[in-house]
Amino acid sequence: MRRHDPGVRAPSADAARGPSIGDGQVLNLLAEWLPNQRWFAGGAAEAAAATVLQRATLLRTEAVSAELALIRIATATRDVTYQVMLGWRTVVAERLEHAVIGVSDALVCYDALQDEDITGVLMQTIADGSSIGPITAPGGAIDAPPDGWHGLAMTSEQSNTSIVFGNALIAKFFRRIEPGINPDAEMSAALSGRPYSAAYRGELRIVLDGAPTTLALVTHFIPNSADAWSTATVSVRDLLAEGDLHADEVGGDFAGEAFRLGGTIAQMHGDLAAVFGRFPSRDEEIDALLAGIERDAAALQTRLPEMTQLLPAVHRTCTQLGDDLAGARPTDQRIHGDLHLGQVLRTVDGWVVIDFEGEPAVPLAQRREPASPFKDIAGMLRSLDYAARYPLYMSTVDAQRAYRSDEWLARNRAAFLDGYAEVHGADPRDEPGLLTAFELAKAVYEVDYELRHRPGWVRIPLDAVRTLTAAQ
Amino acid sequence: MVDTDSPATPQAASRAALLPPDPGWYKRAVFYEVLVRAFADSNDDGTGDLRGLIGKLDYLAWLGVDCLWLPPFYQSPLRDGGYDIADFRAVLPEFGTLDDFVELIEAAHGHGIRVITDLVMNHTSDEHPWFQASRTDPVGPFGDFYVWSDTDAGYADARVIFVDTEPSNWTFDPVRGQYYWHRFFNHQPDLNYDNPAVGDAMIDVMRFWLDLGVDGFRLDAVPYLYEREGTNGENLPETHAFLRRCRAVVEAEYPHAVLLAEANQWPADVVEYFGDAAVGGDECHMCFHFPLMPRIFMASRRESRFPISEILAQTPPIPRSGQWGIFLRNHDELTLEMVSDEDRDYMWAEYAADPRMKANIGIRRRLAPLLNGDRKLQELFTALLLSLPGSPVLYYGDEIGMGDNIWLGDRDGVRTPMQWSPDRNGGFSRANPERLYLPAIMDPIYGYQATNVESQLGSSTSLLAWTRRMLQVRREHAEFATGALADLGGSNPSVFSFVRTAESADPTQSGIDDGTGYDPAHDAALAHRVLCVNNLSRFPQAVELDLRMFEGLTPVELTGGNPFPRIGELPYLLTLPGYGFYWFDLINEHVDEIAGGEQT
Repeated sequence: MRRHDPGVRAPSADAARGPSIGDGQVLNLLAEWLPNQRWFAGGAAEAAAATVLQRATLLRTEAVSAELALIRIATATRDVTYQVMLGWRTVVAERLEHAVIGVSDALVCYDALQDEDITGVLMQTIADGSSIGPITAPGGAIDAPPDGWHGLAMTSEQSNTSIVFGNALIAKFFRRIEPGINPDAEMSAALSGRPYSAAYRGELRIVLDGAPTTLALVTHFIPNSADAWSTATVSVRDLLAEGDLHADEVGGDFAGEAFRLGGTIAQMHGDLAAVFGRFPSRDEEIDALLAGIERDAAALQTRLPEMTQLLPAVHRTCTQLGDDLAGARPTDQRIHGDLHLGQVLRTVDGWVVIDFEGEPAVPLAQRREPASPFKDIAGMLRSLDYAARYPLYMSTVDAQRAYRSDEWLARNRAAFLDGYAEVHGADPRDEPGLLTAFELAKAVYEVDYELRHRPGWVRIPLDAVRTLTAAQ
Repeated sequence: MVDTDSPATPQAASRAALLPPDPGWYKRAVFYEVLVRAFADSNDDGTGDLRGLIGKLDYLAWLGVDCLWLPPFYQSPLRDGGYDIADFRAVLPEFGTLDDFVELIEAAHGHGIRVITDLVMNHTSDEHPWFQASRTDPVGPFGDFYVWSDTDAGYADARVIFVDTEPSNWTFDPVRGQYYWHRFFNHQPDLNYDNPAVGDAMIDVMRFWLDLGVDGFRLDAVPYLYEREGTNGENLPETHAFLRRCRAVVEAEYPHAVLLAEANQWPADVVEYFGDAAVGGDECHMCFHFPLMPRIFMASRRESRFPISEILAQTPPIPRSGQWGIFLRNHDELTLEMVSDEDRDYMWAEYAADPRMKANIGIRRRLAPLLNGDRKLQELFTALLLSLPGSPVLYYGDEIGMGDNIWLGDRDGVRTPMQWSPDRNGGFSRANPERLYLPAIMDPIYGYQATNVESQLGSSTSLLAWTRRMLQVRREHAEFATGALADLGGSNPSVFSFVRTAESADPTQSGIDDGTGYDPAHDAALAHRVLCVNNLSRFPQAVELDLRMFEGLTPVELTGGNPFPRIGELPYLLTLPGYGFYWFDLINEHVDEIAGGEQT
C-alpha cells in the first residue's frame, strides 16, 4: 500500500512570514492552483493574468498565519474578483495535504478554508460581533460551541466553498465577489425564521470599491436533506420502469411533493413581497423579454441549425405574446432569481429553499432588482421538464417511455401550480401569456447553456422551445 | 370485596423458577409473538395448545428468540380473538390448564426464553362474571365495575375505533336498562377505573400471573382506561396515574418483569407512557412504536428515506429505563391509524388492491404477501426491523415467509396454522383438516407444501436460515439494541443510512437522536458503532456518504466479516443492489493485511 508522507514540509520555521511574502510569488502559486478549482471560471490564461487587489492578514503566529487575498482577473467583458483565503505553515498535517497550493520561500501555502483552526477564528469573530483586519461581522447571532469550532468543508459545492460546523451552522464563503451585499445574505436575513428558509446567523463583510461587500454568509445547517432534483428523478425513474401503471398509480408518485413545493414557493414570494415591496413592472419589461427571446434564438442558429427552422415559430409566438400582453403591467417584486429543483431541499420538516444568490452571470446590482415572480415559477417548471426528460436521453428514447415522461410532467406540473395557486390565492395559469413568455425565455437560455456545457442535453430545452412555440 | 373470579391462588399450579436477574433484558431482547392457537396442536383436536408450544421451544431457541409474547389464552367466548376475557385467572380449556401454563414458563426459562402475556385492562367480555353481576345487581359489589349511563350521549368526543362494525361507543343493556360504555366491540364493556376496586382487582390479576413466573405483560389498549367529558378519552392523566401504580407494584414486588404498552398514538403522546424521564421512567418499560411500521412500507414504495427519517425525527427521546418495541406485522391488521389521511389513502392504494384486504383502518396481510413475495424486500424490511432503535417483535411464521388467507373473516387471515412441514395440516396438527380452528394456507406459493419450517431448515439459503443468521449478528452488537441513532442523510434520497452508537458500556442508555443535535466531535472517543446503509429502491444505487466524522475507521461488513476501504477525507462511495443493505462495524484498526492489500 501507499505510505503517506509525513506531510509537505518547508525547510525553515516561522509561519508568521507568510503574509509578507511578495504578491508576485503568491500569484505564481495561484496561477497553477486556480484553474483546478471548480469555482474558478477561467483557465490557465486567466489565472496567469491575475492581479492582487488586496491582501489582509487575519492571523499571525509562529505556527500558522492566514490572510485574505482578493484576486482580480481582467477579462474582455468585465473584471472578476475572487476571494482566496491563504494559510501559511512550515509544515501541514496529512489532513491538509489536499489543500496545499504550493511552497514559496520555505513556507507551505494552502487553502485556509480547509483548516478548522483558521475558519474557527473567522467564526469566533462572528460570535463576538467583532472584526478581524478589514473584515467585519455585523448581525451575528451565534455562540461558540463548547468544544471549539470544528469545520468540515462540503464536497458537493460547485461555485462557492461551504463549511459545516458541528451539523449546526454552515458558512458559505462566496468565491466570486462583487461590491455590495450579496442577495443570498440579504434574502436569508429577510426570510430568517420562515420554516422554508435556513435561519440567518451572520455574515463576514469587507469594504470593496467603497461598498460593504459580503464575503461569507452563516446560516443554520439543515442535516439530512436531499435536493428536489434527486427526489424528482427517483420518481421519474420509478414511473419509467412501469409497464402498465400510470403516473398517479405508482409508488414513487411525486405529485404530493410537487404540490407542497408549489405552496412553499408561493409562500416565499408572498413573504418577499411583504418585506421588499411590490412594484409595477417597467414599461418596456415585457417587450424587452420578448425581444430578448427572438434575439437569443436568432443568435443560436449558427451553432444549431435546427433552431433556424424554429425561428418563424418563435417570431410568431413572440409577436402573439406581445399583442396579448400589450399594456399589461404585471407586478414585480424581489424573487429568488435562479430557482430550479436543485435549489430546494427536501428535509424531514418539508421543503427548504436555498441559494438566493441569483444568476451568478448577472451583475449583482441587477440581481437585486425586482422582477416577475413568473420568472421563478417558469424556472421550476423548466426544471420539472428536465427531470422528466433527462432519464429518457440516458438510454434510447422509445414511445412508451416518452409517453410516461409526458404523463409525469403533466401531473407534476399541474400539482406544482395547484400548490402555488392554493397558497398564493391566484393561479399562475390564469396568466398564460406571462407563463409562456418566461418559460420560453428560460428554454432559449437553456439551449445556449447546453450548447456550451452539455451538448448531449440540448434536445431537452430544444424540445421545449418547439412545444412552447407550437402551442401559440 | 367478593371475588367472583377463579381462586386468587392457583390450586394445583406451582410456580415456575425465574431466569437469573438481568436488568434491562427487554432492551436487548428479540420478541416473538406466538398465538397459542396457531402454533402447534399436541392433542389432535385441531387447535394449538400450551403443550404444543412447549414442544416447539427447541425451535424458538434455535432461531434466537429471547422472549415470547402470548396473546390472550384466557377463558373467553372468543369473539375478539381472546381479547374478550371471561375469566382473568383461567386458561381457555382448549389451550390446556394452568399447570400446562406453568410448565410452559418453566420450560421456556429452561431454554433461556422469557414469556410475557397479554393483559387486557380496559375491558372484559360481557360473559365475565363481573359484568353479569354488574348488569343484574346495580347496587351490588360489582354494580359500579363498568361505565353505565341512562343515555348514550356522553363522551361524544371519543372516536369509534371499530368503524366497520360499531355505530357507537354506547350499547343499551336490556337487563339493567342502561347503556354501557365500550371503546371496542359491544360485547366488550369497558371497566370503570373511577371505581378504586377495579384498579385493585386488576393489580391482583397482575400479581396472580407474575407469581406464576411470567416475565411481564403487554398491556392491551392502555390509552382508554378512563373517560372524561369533553375529551377524546385517550391518554388522560388518570390513566397515566394508574399505570404508575402498576409500575410501582412491579418495581417493588417483581423487578424482573416488563410492562409493554400498546398505545396506538403519535410518538409525542406515546412517550408519555414511559412516564417521568427525571426518574428514568415510572410507567411502562416499553411501548410499541406504531407509526414507524407504515412509514417503512411507504418509504420502500416511494423509494425515499424521508417517510422513515421524518418519523424518527418526530420521535422524542425516551426515559433511561425505556425501550421501543418495533414490529413489521402482528396479529392485528397493518395499522393505519397513525398515518395521515393522505398517507392512509396511499397505503390502501398500494397494499390493498382488493377491498377484502382492508379491515377497519388497516390492511390484513402478512409480511411476505404484502411485499409480493419479494425475498430481497423481505430481507431489507427485516434488516430495518433489526437495526432501527427498539426491540424487534417478530410475528410467528414471518421468519419462513408465511402467507395469509384474505377470505377468512375479520383478522383471521393472518392467524392461520404455523407451517412446520409439508405433511397434513402443515405439521401443525394430526387432526382431520376439517377440524382445524382455521384452514392451513394451501395456495401454491405460500401453502405449507411450499413454505414450511422443515424444508427451510434443510437449506442454508432459506429465509429462515437468513433470519436466524441476522438475529445472531444483531446479538453480537449491543449497539443495535441500545445505541443512539444518527440519521446520516445524504444526497441520494433512496438510500437511508444511519449510525447506531453505544454511548457507553452502560446498557441502560438508549435513545433516538433526530440528527439535528448530532455532534461528531463528541462522538470521536466512543468505541462502538454500527453503520447501516439501506437501499429503499428496487434499482441498484450508488451513494456517497459524508463519513468524515469517522475518518480513519474501517467499515467491516457484519455478515461476512470483510473489511471495506478505510474511511478518509473524501465522500465514501458505496454501491448497493436493488433493496440491498449493508451492516458495518466501524473499527479503529488497520485491516489492510486481512484485506490482502499490497504491502510495501
